[in-house]
Amino acid sequence: MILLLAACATDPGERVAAAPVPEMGAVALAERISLDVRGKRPTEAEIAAVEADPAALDGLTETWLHDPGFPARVRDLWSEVYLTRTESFLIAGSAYGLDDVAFQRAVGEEDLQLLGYIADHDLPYSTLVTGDFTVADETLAAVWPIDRPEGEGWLKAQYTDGRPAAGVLSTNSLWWRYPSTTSNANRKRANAISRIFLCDDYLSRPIDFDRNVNLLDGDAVQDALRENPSCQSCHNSLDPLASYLFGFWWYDYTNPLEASTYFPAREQRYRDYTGVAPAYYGVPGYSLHELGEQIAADRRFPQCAVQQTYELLLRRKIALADTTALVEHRNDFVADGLTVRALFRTVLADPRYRAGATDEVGYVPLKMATPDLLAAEIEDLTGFRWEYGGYDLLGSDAVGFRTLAGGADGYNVTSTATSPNATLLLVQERLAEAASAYVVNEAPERLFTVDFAATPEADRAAMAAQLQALHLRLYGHRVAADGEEVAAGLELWSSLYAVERDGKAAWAGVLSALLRDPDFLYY
Amino acid sequence: MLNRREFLRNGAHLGVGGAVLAAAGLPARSFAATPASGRKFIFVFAQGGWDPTRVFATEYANSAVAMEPDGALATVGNLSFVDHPARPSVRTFFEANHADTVVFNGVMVRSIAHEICTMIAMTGTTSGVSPDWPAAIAGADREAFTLPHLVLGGPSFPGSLGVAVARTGASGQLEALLSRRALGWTDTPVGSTMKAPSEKVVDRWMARRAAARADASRSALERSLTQDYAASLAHLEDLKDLAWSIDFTAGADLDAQAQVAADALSMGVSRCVTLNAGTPGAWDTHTNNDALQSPPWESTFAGLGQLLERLRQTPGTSAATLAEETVVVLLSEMGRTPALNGFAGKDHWPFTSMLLWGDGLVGDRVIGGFDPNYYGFNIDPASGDVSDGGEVLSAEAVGATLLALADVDPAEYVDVDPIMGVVA
Repeated sequence: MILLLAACATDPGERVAAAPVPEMGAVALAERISLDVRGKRPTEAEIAAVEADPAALDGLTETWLHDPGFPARVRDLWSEVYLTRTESFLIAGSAYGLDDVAFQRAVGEEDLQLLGYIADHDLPYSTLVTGDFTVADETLAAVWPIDRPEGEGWLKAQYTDGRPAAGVLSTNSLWWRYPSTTSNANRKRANAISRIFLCDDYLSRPIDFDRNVNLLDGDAVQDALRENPSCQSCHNSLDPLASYLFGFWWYDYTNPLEASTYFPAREQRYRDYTGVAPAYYGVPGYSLHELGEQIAADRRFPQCAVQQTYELLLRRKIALADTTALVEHRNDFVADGLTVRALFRTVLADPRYRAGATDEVGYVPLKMATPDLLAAEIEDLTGFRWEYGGYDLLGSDAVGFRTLAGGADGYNVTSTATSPNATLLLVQERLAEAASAYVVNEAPERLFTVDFAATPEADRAAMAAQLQALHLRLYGHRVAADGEEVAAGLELWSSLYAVERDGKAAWAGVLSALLRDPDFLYY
Repeated sequence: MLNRREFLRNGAHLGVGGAVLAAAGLPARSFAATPASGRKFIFVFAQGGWDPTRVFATEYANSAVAMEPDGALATVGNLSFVDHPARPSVRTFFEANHADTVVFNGVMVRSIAHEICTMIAMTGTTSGVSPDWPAAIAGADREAFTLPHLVLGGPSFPGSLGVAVARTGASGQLEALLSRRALGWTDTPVGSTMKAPSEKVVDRWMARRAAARADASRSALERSLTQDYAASLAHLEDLKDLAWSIDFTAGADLDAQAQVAADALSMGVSRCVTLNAGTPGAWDTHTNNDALQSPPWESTFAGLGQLLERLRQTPGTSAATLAEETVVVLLSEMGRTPALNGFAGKDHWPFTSMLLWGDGLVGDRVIGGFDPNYYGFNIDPASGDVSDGGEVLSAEAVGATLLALADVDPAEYVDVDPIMGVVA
């Protein structure tokens, strides 16, 4: 994609910045990086460190990249690429005698967990398509042919059915999400590979049907796929890619046993469906493992990783004007060991990511939190995670609010919202309300030092200090005790107190307002 | 002239959604009075890929196409359709509505993958960033509506117009959020929450805060986002008021969705609504096509008939009834192969059919058709007539036509001509 962009003429709608764009303030940048890298806001101590020495942010960034929240952020960000968190796989948990909520969630998570594991352990990014392991939780280990050590949660594990070592290409989850029909002959799966790992979506290419080809005649179709230029432009490379995947050829996608198993004996069934031997863009291959190696050796593979990281962290699509930056990031990625942390490091240093107030095209001085990020940071601040009946309500649509909050469900909505709407703000409001109630009632020490019995009349200083602390913790803003933010907060507190006649409830209302604020949603 | 809030209040008093106008003996139809800019749209999406030969594709003369036993060619007005004893609602629908109905046959969707075809059918592209037709239409006038594009079911590609698109959730989520019932949906006890009156206090404070934040913006992007926030907050306030007069819990039943859609359009809440026809996946008949396609077609046409009846009985915002200011679009992401496969099923096919009904259309007409290979014919966009030298009858062309019907410039979204031959 990068080279393709480089070959194109400059887009007249884009322009390169004439002068350096100012960087956002150090604390604002710390807020952004901390949220993107670990899903939580900087602590008061971290903010103080950055205020004292903006250069301290470099060290903090490195620390945050090793925070336990980092792999979770990687998973959440790339969920928009893999689109596996769908909650609607063809086989229900009941087929295995399991709770369906946990089952659907686990299936949708396997590939992302593997990516998160690779990121967290600084394994080469190529492990994603060449690794000889997966990661599995108790649910997947119980139902799929997986050897997993004892323990809780997602652990490194091995499939035991003889499937080739090919990282996520060898996981059941990916092929449950991207099944095939007889006539499709794994082409959809091949395109998923191309889209996810090479950033080349065949289906974004113009498609024109040659009316001289009779799609009703199987032989004529096969001939056309081999010889017709308009068909060949895609099928010449797509079909050989699809032929690598016949070990995952399942005759009955709803059969729990069959659809859990890799079949080495079916690897050459491509002979029955397309007659096209496996090959990777003209280079013959034999096994899925070889495909993984071929992808890993393809220059487009790291380029695509860079492109995805760039788009996910800037929350916008790449444009022609990004070409130089993307090449530089790719070089940094390679030089820094081809790890996911290396990807983050280089994009986090990009001036477009760090931009302060500017109207320069492509620079992102402000962006909106995704539902998963909103859930993560509120959990970190308040201790409250909105879960019900086992569902993570900001990560589910079955009973939750994911798409109402701007999230993607993987099928009906395939990209996360970048600007708010009424339902998103409604979800944010209720989440803020529940989290505020939780923290004042169950865990006030997380955010409050004020005596809930205090009133502005009796102890304005303490209440002002509390509001100052909240502004600092929630937004990284230091506000004056006699400033307008504190005055507005006290006014709100008084108005709420007039209704509630209870200081604790009034503080819950104030906190809920602060958690609904544009400065909380945007960062 | 009532402003929107006044209208909503009055609408609520009138019991919008009931049979007020029908009871008053008002005419069932009187089209072509609504300006395109005020036209409303209901999209009914059949997810899974329907088989057009069950209703629209009367390919009895084409031996390559497996038609259904017991079905027969029928004609009402200028429309031909497949009549089958298991699907009486199809005949009922065409008999009652053919005059205002346009059928597109042989619409090309360029792919045979569900997700891609869905994207193409709804947006004309596979970019994943283009807004779909309802979002583009609703987004053009988004400030005027609380929920410009309301999605009760089916796909939604908001693109850059996410601010204009709202889903309700499949199991009453929006209702639960509005009623505050969702605050009880937690495995972790949170203790007592704010009293309802306090919510008003916070909302007012938030509105002031949002306006101030927008005013303080220092860049175009920041201004855009903070203004979107302020606008959305205002829409949310409207939405909370509406909770007293609209139940957004529709579920999967088409008629139940239609009721919510009619309420939302009639009360000026939305300009576009998307509904789901049939259980998602029910249309995807790779096995046993004949037996499995029939029920969703029957239920969809029964539901469609009920929807139109509801539109005829529900007040419009710029015309006497919604029927006079609304276009209904019935579509699926793809067609199915003309021949049965080895499992008596039909696989995916890149040509399909679509149906439009309503205001602003030259009805009683079939556009396009299928050639001997079961490909779509080219058409002349100006007239809508089949033309060898014409343009492909594509999902983009149908989409461009919908945009034109909505007074949205199609060139903003696609580079094909609208089929002006069907636009009155």
